[in-house]
Amino acid sequence: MIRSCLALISLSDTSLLAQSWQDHYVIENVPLPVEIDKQIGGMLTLRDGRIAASFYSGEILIFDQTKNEWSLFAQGLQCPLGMVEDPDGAIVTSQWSELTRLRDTDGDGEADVYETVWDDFGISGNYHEFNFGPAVDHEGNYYVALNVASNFAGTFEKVRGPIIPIGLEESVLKGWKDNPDWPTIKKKAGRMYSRVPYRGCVMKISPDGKGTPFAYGFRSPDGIGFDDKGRLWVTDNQGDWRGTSPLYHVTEGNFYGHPASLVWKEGWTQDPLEVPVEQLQSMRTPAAALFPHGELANSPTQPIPTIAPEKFGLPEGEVLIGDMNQPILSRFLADKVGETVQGAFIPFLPFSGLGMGNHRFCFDQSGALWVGKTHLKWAGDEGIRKITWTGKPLFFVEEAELKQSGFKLRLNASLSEALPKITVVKHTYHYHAAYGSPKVNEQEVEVSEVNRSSNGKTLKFKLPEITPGYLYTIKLEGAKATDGSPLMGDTIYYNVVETK
Amino acid sequence: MRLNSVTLLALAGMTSLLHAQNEPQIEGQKEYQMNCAACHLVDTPSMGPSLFAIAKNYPAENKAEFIAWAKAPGKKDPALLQMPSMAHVGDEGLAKIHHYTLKATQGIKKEKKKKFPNFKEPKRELPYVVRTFLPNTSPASAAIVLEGDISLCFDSEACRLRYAWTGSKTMLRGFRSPAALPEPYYQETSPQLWSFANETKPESHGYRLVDGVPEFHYSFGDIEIREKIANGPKPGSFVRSFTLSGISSPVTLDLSHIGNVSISSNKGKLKGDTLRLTASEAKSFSLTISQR
Repeated sequence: MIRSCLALISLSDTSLLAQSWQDHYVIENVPLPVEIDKQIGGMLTLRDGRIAASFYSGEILIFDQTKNEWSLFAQGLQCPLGMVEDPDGAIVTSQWSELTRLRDTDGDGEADVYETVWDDFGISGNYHEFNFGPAVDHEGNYYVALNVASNFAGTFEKVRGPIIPIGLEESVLKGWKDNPDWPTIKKKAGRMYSRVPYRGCVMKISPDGKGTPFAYGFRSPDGIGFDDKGRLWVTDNQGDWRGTSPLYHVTEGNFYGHPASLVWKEGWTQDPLEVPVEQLQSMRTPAAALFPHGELANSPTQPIPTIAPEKFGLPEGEVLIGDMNQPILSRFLADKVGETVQGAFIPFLPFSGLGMGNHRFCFDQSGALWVGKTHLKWAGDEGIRKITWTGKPLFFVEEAELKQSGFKLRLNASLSEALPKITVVKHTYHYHAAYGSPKVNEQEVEVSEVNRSSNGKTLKFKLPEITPGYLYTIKLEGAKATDGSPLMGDTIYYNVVETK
Repeated sequence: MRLNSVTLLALAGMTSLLHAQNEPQIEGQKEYQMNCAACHLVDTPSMGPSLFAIAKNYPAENKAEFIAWAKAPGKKDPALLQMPSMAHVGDEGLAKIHHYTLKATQGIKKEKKKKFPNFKEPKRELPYVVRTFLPNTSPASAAIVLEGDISLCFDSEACRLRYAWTGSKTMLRGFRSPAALPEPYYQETSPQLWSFANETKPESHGYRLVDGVPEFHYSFGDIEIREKIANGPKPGSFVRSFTLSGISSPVTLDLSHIGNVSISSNKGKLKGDTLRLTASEAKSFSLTISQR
């Protein structure tokens, strides 16, 4: 057993804080046992209120807040990158080779059953084939996102396959280490590739372990989760076929843009690298929201739905998303246009002392947000932080709605009559095989007919035209409530997929 | 696993990670945070060299070389990944990043140690089962570490023990490449262990720990097998205890192997490397494998 106390680490350098986030949220460090590699792969609040954390190094520890004590629940797992709790209390985790159900049948607090739920998918041995999740729907089906391989490496000699014969020859993939031509020949594999089932897919797995591809077209989908309306959200990382990092609203059978996994579609025979971009473009479902690279996120992580506003200060029904490289969380505000769910990101806790490497999240029963960090020797960070709302209300945008000729923003308190300076810039990104994309066609958009409602809770403005396929960056400089409180999160990144 | 109490050391280690980050103020800081910060910290090596180290290589007069390198990087340190081209940032942006590199490292006398040094694995209570990449087996395999320096490889795809070795000093975890292991002292060489294995594909159901001892559970069609793996009675030996259900006819095990070991069975007839069991004997039997 591991005893510890929760230590409040004061954020002494408050002079550096651009906004007064610390008035609203307290960020504490949660000490972990020294004998554990503190890189977090999963966070979960159990029904009994305890907090489970899974570690890249293979352990699952459980924290009992009433005793301030960590205890070991499971170990020897390979890269467990998420957890859910079954109705009977078993913990289900996704590790490198399988989806595993862990049970403590003798009641000693430690799992003694490591049951294989699903292992009917490929492992090539490529270092990039992470398995993210699971998320679970209301019927108990699990959803796992399978990462594709990186051409910085080939595969092992022995794979769990089969290797599909579309693309670079199997012998070349397997013999990459001894091949002096690998640095050039690897391009034929694709920057990120999928050669064993069902890399690049989001898989749906029934409670009894039958897995089928649910959606295609993912690259590095580190974040997967349902919101409180039962919608499945998946984040992905900027790179090839990803001009910037996206958030997808994932529905069955759709293709989300990275072509490598198309080989797992029934009847598919083409090399994905040879499919014309126009064809891919017509097949793909666009992102619901976009994280401008290097501003909001570089490698976005888990989406987590917000909880009751009296517990954490934010409206219920939003989705919070972390990032590995930016010291920011993003609030996602969904907006439905026709049948399309699209929406806006608003920065949350930027430059607040939260730091980088914000990988996994759970809200505990008192409403505090627990943040598990990781780095994998990149910048990132490690350990667990706990973010507690102080109870002091904060002034924020709670709805961003696209109108026919502009935007309507709803605020949670009255906006001062002294209106903010509103600037709107729009840009788009290339959809191509190259790694990332610069901002394309970036241009300022003229704002007109700014209208504050009589109660100050809505702000409307018009734009000359709304262009689908563009990310609109709306800045509300100097926005304040009638009581002088600053707007917390004064930049809104709205991704226009459909117009009204 | 012997995880002991949290010490103040852990707390002290944590506080230094909690510095609030500043909003970009120096020219080039924004571009650095956008394009470089994931791999290059200011004063500490991480995925790539620190800005401090880069600034030494590219002082003010070497700005053009800095830009050229960032657009078409080579590989200076074989231990690090090669940097992707930053051509998309453009000459102007790269010049700003160079400016920031020099400004941010002014006054720094010495590079800090790596932020995340390699983690030292704690001692584990044995037996210990760990899923990991091992050589000459499926990537879906597990290592079983027993007392007395005996480690075994269980292939979860083929559902069979592959080999045993001693002298393992590796951490037996990770996902980049198979652990480097000493030569096994016992390695099974038969195409299939079980006479019924050719008829159906094996299916792994995982394992349980029975009083801490791992018991693997797998099946071939209707035949369910539980295989418990534990230390044997003598130093250097291990015992595989099998419980089978769904057996209605005799079973043969092909125990062909490489290694200087003796194999004994508590049931059936063992001749050479072939063990013949009646259907009744096959329901519960054990094999002991001892180093000679």
